[in-house]
Amino acid sequence: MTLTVTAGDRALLVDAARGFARRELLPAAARLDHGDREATHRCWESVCALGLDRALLDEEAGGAGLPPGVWLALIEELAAAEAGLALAVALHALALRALPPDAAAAVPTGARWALVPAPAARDHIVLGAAGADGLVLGGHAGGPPAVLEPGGDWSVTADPRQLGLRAAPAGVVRSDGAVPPAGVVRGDDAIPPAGVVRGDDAIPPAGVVRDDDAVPPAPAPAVEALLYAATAAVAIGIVRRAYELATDYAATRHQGGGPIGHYGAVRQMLAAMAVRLEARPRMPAEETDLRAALAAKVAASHAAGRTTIDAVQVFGGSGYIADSGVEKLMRDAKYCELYPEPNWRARARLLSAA
Amino acid sequence: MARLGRRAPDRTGSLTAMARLGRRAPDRTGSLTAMGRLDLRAVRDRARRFADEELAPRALELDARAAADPAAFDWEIVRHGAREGLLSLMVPKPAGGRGALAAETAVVMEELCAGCPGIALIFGANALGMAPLLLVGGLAPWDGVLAELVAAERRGEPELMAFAITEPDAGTDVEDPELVRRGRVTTAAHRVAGGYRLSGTKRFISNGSVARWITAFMPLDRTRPAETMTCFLVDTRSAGFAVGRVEHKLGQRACPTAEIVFDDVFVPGERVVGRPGDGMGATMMVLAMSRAPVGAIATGIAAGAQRRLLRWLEEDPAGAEALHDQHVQLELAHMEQDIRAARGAYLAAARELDGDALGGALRHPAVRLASAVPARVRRAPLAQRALRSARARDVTVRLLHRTTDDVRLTRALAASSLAKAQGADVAMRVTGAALDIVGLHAGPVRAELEKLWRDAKLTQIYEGTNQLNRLEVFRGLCHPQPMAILPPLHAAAVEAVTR
Repeated sequence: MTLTVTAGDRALLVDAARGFARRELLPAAARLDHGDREATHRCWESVCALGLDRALLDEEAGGAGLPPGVWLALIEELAAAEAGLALAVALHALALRALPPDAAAAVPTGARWALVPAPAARDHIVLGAAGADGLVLGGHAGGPPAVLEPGGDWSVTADPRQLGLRAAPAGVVRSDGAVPPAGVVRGDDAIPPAGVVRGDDAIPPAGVVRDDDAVPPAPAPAVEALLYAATAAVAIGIVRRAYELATDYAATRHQGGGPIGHYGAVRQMLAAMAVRLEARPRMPAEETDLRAALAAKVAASHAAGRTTIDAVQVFGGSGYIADSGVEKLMRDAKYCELYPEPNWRARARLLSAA
Repeated sequence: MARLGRRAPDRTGSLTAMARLGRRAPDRTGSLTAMGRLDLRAVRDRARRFADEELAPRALELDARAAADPAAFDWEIVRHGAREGLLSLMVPKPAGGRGALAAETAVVMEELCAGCPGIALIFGANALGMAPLLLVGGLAPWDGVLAELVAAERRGEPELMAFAITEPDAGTDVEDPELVRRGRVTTAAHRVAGGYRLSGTKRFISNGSVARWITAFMPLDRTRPAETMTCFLVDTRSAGFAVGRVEHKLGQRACPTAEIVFDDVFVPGERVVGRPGDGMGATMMVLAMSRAPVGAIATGIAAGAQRRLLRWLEEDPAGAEALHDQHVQLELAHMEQDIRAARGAYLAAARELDGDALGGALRHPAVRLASAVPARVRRAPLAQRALRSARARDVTVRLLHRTTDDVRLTRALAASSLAKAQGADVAMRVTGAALDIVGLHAGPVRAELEKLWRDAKLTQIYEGTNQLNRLEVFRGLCHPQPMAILPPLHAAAVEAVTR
């Protein structure tokens, strides 16, 4: 059952998430970006201790039952500090939400699962998959998911060259069991109408893949729209962080005898960032509104791409160096443009989305 | 030069030899442009083959190595380039080089960058380090450092150059004669017996940690940097010179970018490049000369991305499906449009530089005459003393005044800046669009495109941010306001301020 959250409660929750993100995630952002296991483990533990990993789940599944709109606001707050971890939290929450409540409740606290989006095509890397304890495949509207449980015949080959959102480690998923060997699901036009994982017809029609096939078909939770909306929330968090870094730098970096923020060229870039923030895309009012979610993802990730490229530009040479923290945002934003599928494919689907 | 054998048989098939062959090809019109175009085609083909065979296959490996250790440097790839004559590309022929001007250099850089911009930057930064010697150094370097570099290249023990103007608190400032007056330049040189002592830190110096020689710009009086900026040829083996931090960059990693520290480094007076106090003008001329090739670097990045994308679309089953999508077809066409426009912009700028703006000085009868003097005569002590004298430096300035002017230089700087900004924006757009089409594909094409996208961003920043470059376009082309680029004709005026 989903909670009713008043505006005041929402503000309280958002403030708490913001404080946590600033305190715990922001200082660890560079280490998370470098794949520091200790930092990743510690941050994940903190996320779980606050209940952020289960915030979206209904109470019967062991969660807080937050409305999706509030949950997305929390994801945005996390992303404004560390986008990769925010996405990892979202993927975990959505994976659990795609499971039957009893299965979700059985996932131990501290474990990290990930949702493998329906559009992920064969031989594509899957964000959040590397190092995950379990994967939920598919999960598009109306379709049952398939599950790769801990200890099953599956593996993920981590991608050492992952460009962005590195705290949601990516890899190629392979399975020796019921799931197609090359990985997972076919994307875009190859998605079957019912939204079931496709490919080699090796996946049983039941929603959960297990060795004994004994688990009954799972309900079909609509997580696909939320996945796009969550990616949009992550992108907006990136825009906020990039704007913050760029304005701070423009106020303190002097060239030609004054702060660079006084120069028209820099002011225009900062103003364009502010415009993107003020005109931020609307999140879907309904959690099943895929069309609105696709639009939000495309618009927000595009804004993140433009904003972060400009933020690096404001920094000049310093922005091109890892220490600045701003080039990381540019990489993270690029992956928001490519995930769960590239924006041009998402745009193409938008017209036909219900 | 004669000894090096301009007519020697082409055993190596090197770029140098290729260029020589090109120059002997029939020139029906007799015009420089026609001759240049003929050369450029052959040079482009040869450079592309080299980039395809030597640079592209190693691009990801060297990038990954430098990501793990920014100071990592692959001398083997430099030796490969040296065998192709890439380190002496711009060295005048009398000094044993190929004598390439801006257009030829730019074409080579485009093709190298389509292979790997990081590796190409090693050669580009080397040429940039040489540029002050070529533009304002007169004839003295021909038989000095340039001859040494050519000899090292031929021995297979290449040495590199670097160019150092940027400082921790002065980036854009030191690339603009007005901003520098109010900027925070913290390096300085002061006169001592027999030369100068240099102090301070330079930042973001490409090749900074591996260069043997660096052309470094410092004011003689920090309170008057515009009037007293001076270019020094620094031997990095000098006492007091040190490499600081090597930066962990987003891209173009195969070429290390370093902080370099001058702790009271002594530079002999004869290693002042040009006249003391002429440094800002020299900087602006170098930027005019180098920005068109940076436009070419960016164009090469875009072209490299488009080629990789096309190959994937044509050869990979996942790509084949996308190739039938009209969006992808239109995107490829848009890339083609952008790349051709960027190429046209840098070639136009480079031809302007090679023609009226700076080429006139290099074609001046006095320079041709000097070129004809046998090297052994020029290298005689008496001749060397004369070439390094204050009078010889004055002659170089007078020659510049006779062959060009501030109007032409301002326009050429603007055209070059336009090419740089245009190319850089195209590189970012094309690499980003190529990556969008490929998406999160697990194959090597994604890693290659991601690298080019990272590499592309730097082109919007170095050689002046694109914003600064557009201001040069405004000042030089939209609302012409000639800048004072040429050094003052009379040395006495310079001496007065620097004393």
